Amino acid sequence: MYKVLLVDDEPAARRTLRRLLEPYGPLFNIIGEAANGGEAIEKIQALHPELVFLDIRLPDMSGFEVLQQLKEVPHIIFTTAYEEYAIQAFETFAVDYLLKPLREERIAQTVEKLQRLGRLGNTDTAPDLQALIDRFNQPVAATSLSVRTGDRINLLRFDQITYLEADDKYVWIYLVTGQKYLSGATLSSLVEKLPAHFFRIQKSYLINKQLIREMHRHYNGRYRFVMNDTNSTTLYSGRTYQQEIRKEFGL
Amino acid sequence: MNIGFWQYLIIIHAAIALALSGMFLLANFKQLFRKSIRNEWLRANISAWLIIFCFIMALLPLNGGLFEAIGEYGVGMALLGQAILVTLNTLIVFNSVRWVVRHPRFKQWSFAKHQALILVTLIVTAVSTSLLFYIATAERENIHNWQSTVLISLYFATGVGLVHVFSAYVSLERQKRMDEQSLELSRLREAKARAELEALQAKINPHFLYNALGAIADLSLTDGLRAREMTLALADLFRYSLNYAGDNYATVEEELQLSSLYLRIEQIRFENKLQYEVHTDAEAGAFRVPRFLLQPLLENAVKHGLKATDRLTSIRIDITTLEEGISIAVEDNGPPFPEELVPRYGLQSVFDKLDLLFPNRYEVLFLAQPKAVVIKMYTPKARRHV
Repeated sequence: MYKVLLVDDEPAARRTLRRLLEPYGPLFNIIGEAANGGEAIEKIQALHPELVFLDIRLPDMSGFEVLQQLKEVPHIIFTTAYEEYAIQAFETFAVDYLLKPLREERIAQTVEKLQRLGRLGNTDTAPDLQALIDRFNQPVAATSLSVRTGDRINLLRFDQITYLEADDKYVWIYLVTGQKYLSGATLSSLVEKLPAHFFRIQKSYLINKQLIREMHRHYNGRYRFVMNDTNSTTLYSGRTYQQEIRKEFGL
Repeated sequence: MNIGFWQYLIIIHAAIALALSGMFLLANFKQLFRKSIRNEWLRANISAWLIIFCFIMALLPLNGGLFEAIGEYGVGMALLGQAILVTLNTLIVFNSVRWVVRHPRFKQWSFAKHQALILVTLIVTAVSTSLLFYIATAERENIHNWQSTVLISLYFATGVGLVHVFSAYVSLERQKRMDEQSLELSRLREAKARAELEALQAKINPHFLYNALGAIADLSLTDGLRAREMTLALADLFRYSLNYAGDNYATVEEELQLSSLYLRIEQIRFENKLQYEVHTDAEAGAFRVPRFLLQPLLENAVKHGLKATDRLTSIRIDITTLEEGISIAVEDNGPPFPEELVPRYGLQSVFDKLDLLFPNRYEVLFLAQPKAVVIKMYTPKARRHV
């Protein structure tokens, strides 16, 4: 007999699970349900279930994050529509990993497994949850820069940004269309958010290498860049950046 | 009149300098006096006068008549005579040729015919003008010497004419090549855009279908009616996305139909957690927007709205016609946008569709209060407001 908590954001999924567990009667004593991560943590701490059917994708956090916030972790059976987390899930305390939509035969296997294992002992090995969570929340490759002006956020796509110019305290971001946006961030903090093809040609200029139309040798170790924007903007590199530029462009 | 070696040298150099200045002015013909003289005809005539002056003066060594005139009347009068000749050439030759070059009727002729007419006009007017001037100014007894005047002006006019024909030919060829290139480019761009759009639309988030089917499987056990409703909504949704017959645009009305199908499906999935309302003005329905523009925004709104687990997720679509376009706002009551917004697939696809179908004619705003994504699209006529 397991005290069971069901965690899933879709009510129908919880009802189905209930229904699928019903035939095993006394083995599962369902003591509660939760529809999101926060609720799950609360109920686990209050009701001390022994077994939790846990959806990996919850609206407010991932199932892994739920585990991370628990002092005492019950046995976990993950349920998810996504195959790609199976291996990660088994690296945690998981007893089983069920793919949604749930199937009767698969539940039967789970039950068999539970019975074979008998009374599960407490696992003491603390898995590296943080690494899992990081992998789960891995940021998608950014394709644009967000610039906040007042209460609106502008998404400036990297392939639309011709160059950035550092002013006294601000940075101007120029687009191919000729528009410009003001950012309160510093140029060096923006460098970190931009992909590698944004290249510094001067202390206060960062240009998009993919939007250079022409590049000319200028005097005094400087270079003249004509950008591929509507204004055909011309920019000059700084003398001290000569070496980097030569290396970057294979000159 | 005897000309010494040094005088000869000076005259030759002066002639070369004048010829070079003439060429320089000719090369920059269109730029001359652009700022100072507004009237186009006046500007062209003054420029032409200067150029003709340079060339005619450069021809001095060939022109015995001027030296005779200097001997006869003095330098001032001789130069005045030249100025009159230049003026005559400008008024008669330049304007006749200009008229022939620019007249729309002649422009419709074939290139060869048009250029031949220009050449003939140039030669006839130039020769007759010089002859007229010569007859008017020469001494009676010298009048039989007209042949050299005719010959000089004939050569001069022919030379200038051929240069004109040549440069017209070169620029015609270049224009042709550029037209071909830009045509090719626009064809390529169109093909690329079409391919990109097809790829974008094919990807109407497979996870959504998967989740919906999963939900139907769950509902079929416990709530047959809802399962049926969801299946029907899903069928309509897919009919919409399969039957668009390659039209990249959809009317706002069609997009709203799709939106309510989508939202209805999510509403069934999350039961009492989701509500939505749509506000639109009467004219907005017919406006054409990129197909599948709204759905990714709604998908995000649902996802963000559900993040706030303590309250009912409420989504509001607001569509208003602008003077020269339309504004579509999707509002949700989820947690505020993060400081650093990283667009995932859905939002990126919205940007991509707008880039392809409303290039430089759209804005996307992320408002904090109320939390909303606003897309403004402008008709081609509209100037860029951004």
